[in-house]
Amino acid sequence: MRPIRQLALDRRTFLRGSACALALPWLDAMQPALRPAAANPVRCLFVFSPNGMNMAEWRPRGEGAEAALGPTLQPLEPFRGRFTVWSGLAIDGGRDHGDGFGDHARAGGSFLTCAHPRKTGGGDIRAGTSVDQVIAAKAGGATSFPSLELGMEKGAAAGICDSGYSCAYSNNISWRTPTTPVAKETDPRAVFARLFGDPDRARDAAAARRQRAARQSVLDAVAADARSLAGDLGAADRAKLDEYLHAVRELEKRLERIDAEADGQAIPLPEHLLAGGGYAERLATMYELIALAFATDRTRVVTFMLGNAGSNRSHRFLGVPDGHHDLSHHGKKPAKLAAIAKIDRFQLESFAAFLDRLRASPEAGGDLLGGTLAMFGCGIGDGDHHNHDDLPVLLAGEGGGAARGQGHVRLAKETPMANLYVATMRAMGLPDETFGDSTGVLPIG
Amino acid sequence: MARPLHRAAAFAALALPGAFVAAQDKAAADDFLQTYCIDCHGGDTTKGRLDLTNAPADPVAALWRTSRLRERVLAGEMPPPHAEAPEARERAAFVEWSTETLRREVPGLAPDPGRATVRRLSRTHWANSIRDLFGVQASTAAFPADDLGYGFDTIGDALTFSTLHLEKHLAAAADVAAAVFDGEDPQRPTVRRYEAEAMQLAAGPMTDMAGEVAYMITNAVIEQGVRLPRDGTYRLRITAGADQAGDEPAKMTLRLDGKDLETFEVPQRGLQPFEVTAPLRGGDHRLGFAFVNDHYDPKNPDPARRDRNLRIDACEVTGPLEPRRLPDAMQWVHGAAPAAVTTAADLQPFVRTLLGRIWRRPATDGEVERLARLGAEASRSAGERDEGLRRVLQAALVSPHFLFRIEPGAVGEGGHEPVPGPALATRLSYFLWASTPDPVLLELGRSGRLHEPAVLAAEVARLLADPRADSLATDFAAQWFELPSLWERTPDPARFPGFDDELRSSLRTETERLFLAVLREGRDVRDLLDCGFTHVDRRLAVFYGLPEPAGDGFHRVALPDELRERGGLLGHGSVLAVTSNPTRTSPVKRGKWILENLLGQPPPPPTAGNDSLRNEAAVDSAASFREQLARHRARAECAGCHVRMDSLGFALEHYDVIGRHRPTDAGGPIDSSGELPGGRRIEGLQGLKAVLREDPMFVRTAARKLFVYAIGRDPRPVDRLRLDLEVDALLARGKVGVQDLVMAIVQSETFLRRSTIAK
Repeated sequence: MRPIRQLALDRRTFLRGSACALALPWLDAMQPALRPAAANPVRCLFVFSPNGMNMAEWRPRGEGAEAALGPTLQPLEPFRGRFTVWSGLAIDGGRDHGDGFGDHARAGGSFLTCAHPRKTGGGDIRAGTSVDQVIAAKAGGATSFPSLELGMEKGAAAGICDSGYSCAYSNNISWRTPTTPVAKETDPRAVFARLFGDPDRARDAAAARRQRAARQSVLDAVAADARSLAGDLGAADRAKLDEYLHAVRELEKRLERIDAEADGQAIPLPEHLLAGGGYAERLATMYELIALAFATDRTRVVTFMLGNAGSNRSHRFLGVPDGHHDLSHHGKKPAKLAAIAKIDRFQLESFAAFLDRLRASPEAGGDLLGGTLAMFGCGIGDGDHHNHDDLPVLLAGEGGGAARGQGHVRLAKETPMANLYVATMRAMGLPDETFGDSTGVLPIG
Repeated sequence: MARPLHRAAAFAALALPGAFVAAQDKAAADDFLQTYCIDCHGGDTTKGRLDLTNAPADPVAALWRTSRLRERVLAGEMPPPHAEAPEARERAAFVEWSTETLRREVPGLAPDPGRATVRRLSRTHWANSIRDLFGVQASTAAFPADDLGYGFDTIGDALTFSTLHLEKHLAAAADVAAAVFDGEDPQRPTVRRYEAEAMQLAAGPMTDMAGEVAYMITNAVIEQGVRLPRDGTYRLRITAGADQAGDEPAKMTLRLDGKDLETFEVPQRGLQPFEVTAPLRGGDHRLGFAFVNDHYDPKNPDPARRDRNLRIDACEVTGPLEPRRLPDAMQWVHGAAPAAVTTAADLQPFVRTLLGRIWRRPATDGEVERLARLGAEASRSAGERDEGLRRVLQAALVSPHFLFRIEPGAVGEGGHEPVPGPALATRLSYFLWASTPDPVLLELGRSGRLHEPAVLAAEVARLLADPRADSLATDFAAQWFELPSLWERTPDPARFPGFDDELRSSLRTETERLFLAVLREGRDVRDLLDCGFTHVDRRLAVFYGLPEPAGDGFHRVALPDELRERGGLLGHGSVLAVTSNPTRTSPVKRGKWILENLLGQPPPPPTAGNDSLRNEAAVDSAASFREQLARHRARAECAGCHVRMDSLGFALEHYDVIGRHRPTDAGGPIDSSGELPGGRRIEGLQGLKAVLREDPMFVRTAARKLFVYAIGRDPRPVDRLRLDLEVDALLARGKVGVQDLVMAIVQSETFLRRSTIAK
């Protein structure tokens, strides 16, 4: 194979979301070699967007397949028939239930868990197991990475994240257990290195194999250390050791899998990953890597935080210098609402460009989008109200036939978001009938 | 000893403790509550869930309530402005009664040291430990961010561990091991060979990389990432050849990290070597190889001189050429390494020494054997001694015994016991150095002598005198004052130009220097609030309008009268910027920051339907904010907190979003005055400092923040009652240094002992 990195990729093409077939050369090129020949797997992606949306600009007019898309969802127009926007979904766990302030922390902690996060500044953190981790635990064994957790922002550097809540709630949407959030990767280059190996370090297969063997021997040793400790600790400390042992086991499984696969499949680093760039460039690159991870079947479950809950990022490149969170408390001021709409629109443009990537990537019987369930949503509806009902949520892709684009669907008020997650779990092959506070299975197909 | 005596008291229902308090004082205190508090906090009405008619049976809870009542009454927050106000004399009498009650009864509470969940090393702790163990500066940039708890990254429950952490630690430990045992043979410097056709093409789309060479037929650049083990002299040797055309030979420029290092003329078609020897820094570099003078002359009569092209075959990087000078910090580990490794037995003494240091406790025979076997196997299969040493080191650094501060044992029923000596040594060093204990401290821990009060006090003094204790400024105080948030603040560059990373860094350093001055010079901690000096580099001197210092780096400057307000952290650009919005200042955020971080009284959230932040974001200038303050005062449910919070914040209004002094705001005059509950006026920053200096809550808060950082959990009521009492005793003596607060925590049962728990 000719080194793919020679083909310079115009990232602006990607950003604009133009359906240009040339946007995908390296992704296409490697698929025959890397995709298993068996039936197409189903993948799922959960995208979290902080601070809610400008709902007036988000909400489609009318219902059904022909519903008119507002300015925010306009970028999805080319995908009509392949996505559903729901109105009326709620996450009750995000509400205060007597705990007072902290809706952003709760929005993060409840987004994929549908649990009510325990109010604590640091001790005894507890939310719930998140839907992606439930899926990964049961269906993730087939891939090198049972799940992949990504984000655009590292954790807060100082202070209290939100009104008496530990930063663990604001910084993580994936929870392996109710007390163990899963750390996320925020550097695109490191994501690539994790998925495909560090391009600067282990080019030759024999060296890479030796390195893996060394790693394996180290893992054996430290696992023995951890096991010998278990008998000597109290319950809370043992839980910490369990986190450690789980990580060891997962990494061991991955190393075995890589060894079992043919060597010499090193994927060259796409040139543009080397470049730095601002938020917009890194965001496009992250989406690109998610597409690549799906296409190469490195993982089938991904969560992606566009910002940490309550993020106050300034979107200067959009002409929006004020902080996102500050703006979201818009007080109905037109200028602030317009600024939020700009951010929202940008997020949907980026998401649409990602969908375009999946659609342009052929797969037996269709395209990669057809084998994917890509969910985009917020844990808060209107940032000014901190409401946890009528959330902005959409699902794109067919998930191997489990889902069908229905345009805009209005649901009964207070329909649990968990119903959507049950539907997703079933599409991913789990037999479960319930999740969190679900009351049924949302009809997605 | 303490038992609730309220049942015997006149106002039995009021439930005040007071075993040793004179009956008439207690009666007066009960009377105070009955007169001024019970309407809102008793019987049917229990605002803030406080019911003064309902007595806590638990002595800790009873005293805790007394302490809280004391704080609110002392601060003038209660009774609230709309309610009937007690006379100053009555207020003082109540405070005196509660102070006396606490002083008498808290020492008698049953011992209850509690325990904190085992802690993973934070990124800072990890990097400092590596630095102090091996003299290696390791980056943690690739590690996931540590989730904070209570504003600090030292909280066990928030320091989670996931697969991503393990991956990063495996890689980082391998790097550290490679830096310590680099496998260098002084007789045969390491040769790294990079084939050109496998490099990355950075420019020049016509270049052919499919063959055995990189064949450049137009100007082009290929690049190679190179990791060098350390600073040193390296030889770079490139093999290349060229097709000639025109009147000069082909030219090849060698670049290091984007800068031209050397340009070679490549005169002939056959491949030949080109060499340059250069001093290079250790770490990651990018080597670039550029063809810079393409020439194309299709009409040249000589077909062999029509097209100038460059062929690059490979580059070899050899070195470092000079033998390594072992850093002092590595002597111990190299000194313990065997000359050769053939069996596990050869490695055992080395492993024992290594683990005893890295794991902060003596290793067991089983642990030593396990890692010795691992290392011997690695040495044998690689045919190189260092490979085994590296493997052992990597495994030791990834082990939970290093990554977690494990304090084994303590399994039992409901009692308490001293923490084991090695664990105490570890607690002390991560508290005072944010790093691993040194051999002296480890030995005192191992022998158990560290539990002797005199030895402990001497060690605290020794550790605080060590430069490593700077971490109390760069790690503890930086988190306390939220200085890392400076990098998350993005003031609008159009209105606040020049707020770049360099300025952020200087502002952070200024505040850390102030803390260091207080620590190192034995000053009173209240000097953090107000003092006659600050520390600036050139950039900050210009920023503040001070004379530029003579040399590089930071210098202490005495503040002239007109800049006197800058003395103390509230005059620092760091704190002023951290508490601002991107486009305007926020008196509420500043007031809240002061309440949380300096007075330890985080305001409770607004009552339902009164989202103050929302309202705040809806106003754009301080002028309309003033109007809102007036509304706050008018509304009883807001006034209780906002009168105080807003008044504190308004005192800083003469400083803008990035901390620059401003005479006016949006062309209008600035009013930096405020009135606290109880009627005391604050005039500007100097007035604010005076108020804060007088408030005993500041020193108590400093102690509590140290507690959270040191112990790794939020202080429980019993911890706070004890700590507050210690602080009050220190305050009564006069000056309170950081050392005094550190000793108060280190000598507490919470630090020295732990509760045992059921298995």
